[in-house]
Amino acid sequence: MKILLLQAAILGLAILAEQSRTDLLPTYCLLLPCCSLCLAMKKTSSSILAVGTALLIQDLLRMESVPLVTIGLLVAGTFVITRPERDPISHRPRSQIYRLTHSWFFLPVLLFISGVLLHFGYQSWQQTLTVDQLKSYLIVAIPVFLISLTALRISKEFGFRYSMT
Amino acid sequence: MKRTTNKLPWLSCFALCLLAIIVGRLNQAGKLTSLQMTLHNIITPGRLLAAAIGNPEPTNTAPSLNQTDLAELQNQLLSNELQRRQLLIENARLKQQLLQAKHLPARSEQLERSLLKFDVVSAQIVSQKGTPEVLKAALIDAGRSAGLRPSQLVISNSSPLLDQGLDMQIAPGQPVVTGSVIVGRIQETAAWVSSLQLVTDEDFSAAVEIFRDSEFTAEFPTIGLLRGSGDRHCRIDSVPYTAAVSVGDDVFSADLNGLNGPRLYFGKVTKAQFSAGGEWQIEVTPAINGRQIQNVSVVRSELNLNRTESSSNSITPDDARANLVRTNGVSTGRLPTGNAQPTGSARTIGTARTRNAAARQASSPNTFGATPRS
Repeated sequence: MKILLLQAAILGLAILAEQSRTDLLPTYCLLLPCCSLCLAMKKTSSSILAVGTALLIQDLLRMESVPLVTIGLLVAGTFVITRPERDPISHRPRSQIYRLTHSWFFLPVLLFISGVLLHFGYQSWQQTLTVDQLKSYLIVAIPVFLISLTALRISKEFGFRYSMT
Repeated sequence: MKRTTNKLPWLSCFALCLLAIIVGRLNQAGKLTSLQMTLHNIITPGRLLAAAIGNPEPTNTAPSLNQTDLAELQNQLLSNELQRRQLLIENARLKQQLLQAKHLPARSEQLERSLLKFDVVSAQIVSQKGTPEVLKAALIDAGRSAGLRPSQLVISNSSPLLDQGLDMQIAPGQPVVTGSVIVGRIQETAAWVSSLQLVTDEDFSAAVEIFRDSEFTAEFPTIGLLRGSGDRHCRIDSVPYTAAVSVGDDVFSADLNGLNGPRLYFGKVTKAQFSAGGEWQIEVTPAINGRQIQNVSVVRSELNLNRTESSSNSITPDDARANLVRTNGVSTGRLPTGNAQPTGSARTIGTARTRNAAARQASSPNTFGATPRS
């Protein structure tokens, strides 16, 4: 429940920030890294629900008619968090390198998928995302993503019972 | 780390994707505007707070605004709000038009198939009391060069004069309307003008239906004969005492020259009393005073030539003969020869109908609508 509240607070603040400073923050530049962060924070269906609800609210606020980003991010996130922890053939736990690699790749993969979907689904196919807009999106999204990643990695040092693997 | 292995995440994902698609479709259709406005209203405080934290300049610049600027900004805000509301209304109207346009092809197809077509000719009332002398002289001068006699050009009565005549296929008896409200009918026609007999004229009569304006009554209209009373009202005769009539009922035309056409509005019942003879004495106030309007339309009915021509091309004489045999109940299996005259009811009925219609028209030139039905 605490995690869910934290996720709701993070996602809500991201939406608020994006809506309040549309001149500085391109759409989804904060929300997508935060969604990735929430999915990585707790790999359960409640995270999917929280992220999906936030993306739906954003779609409503943006009057989005083709919710490509929402669907893509939800499917990708669900696919990643439901990976079998044990090897399906030998039923042995995955190797440390496999788990570490996939955990480390978890956030970049989601961010990359979101960026690609954003590129294709931007403004309901009516206007393609220009290089400048993509640049401004990445300028904000990459630092936010890196900060989130670092926060997750060192959370244990701050006393949070959290582990990336 | 505990990892979810059941199907719940996929179910959640599927449900949310479905919801996202539905929301997208509804967004496209514009049906979530109120929800969007509510969401915007909900996040407005937080947004303002975030904006204030992110950009403290507005709080510094606000006091520098003088009263004039403030009033101007408020006016602009008000005008923007008004414009937004007008756009919302315009949007709703356009959506309604779009909805109607989607049903239009079916309606036009139905009209194409119908045998009779009703159309209107716009006309202007050029004079309220007969033909003025100036106009009379001008018409005679113009008609003389065309080889027309004065009797074909000028109408000599004191009824209102319309600027459309025989050249526009205007004929006596045709209803004259404004919108869907009946004003009167064509009384006489000349080459370029025609006279209008108002519904309040003493010689005016028409078959009408009285509809009760109540949600508790069944929709069986009472039929009667409306006549002009010579003043500003009309009266309805031939309504039996068993009929349910009350003040405020609406009066519509029963038919148009015997044809089942569009229902035209006459007015409202303003007085309803029993007479000594066991019938209702009903007074109707016309919806429009014909003396106060300038532009009217004349309703014409004609055969749908598209259908008659296409049908006559597709029906061969053999088909027609076979149909006639079936109609007459002949089942000998042998068709009449080409020289044989069609016998039986079909021709007789057609002739009788035509004759009856002609006789009715001739006997009651001032009555459009069916003969009085009681």
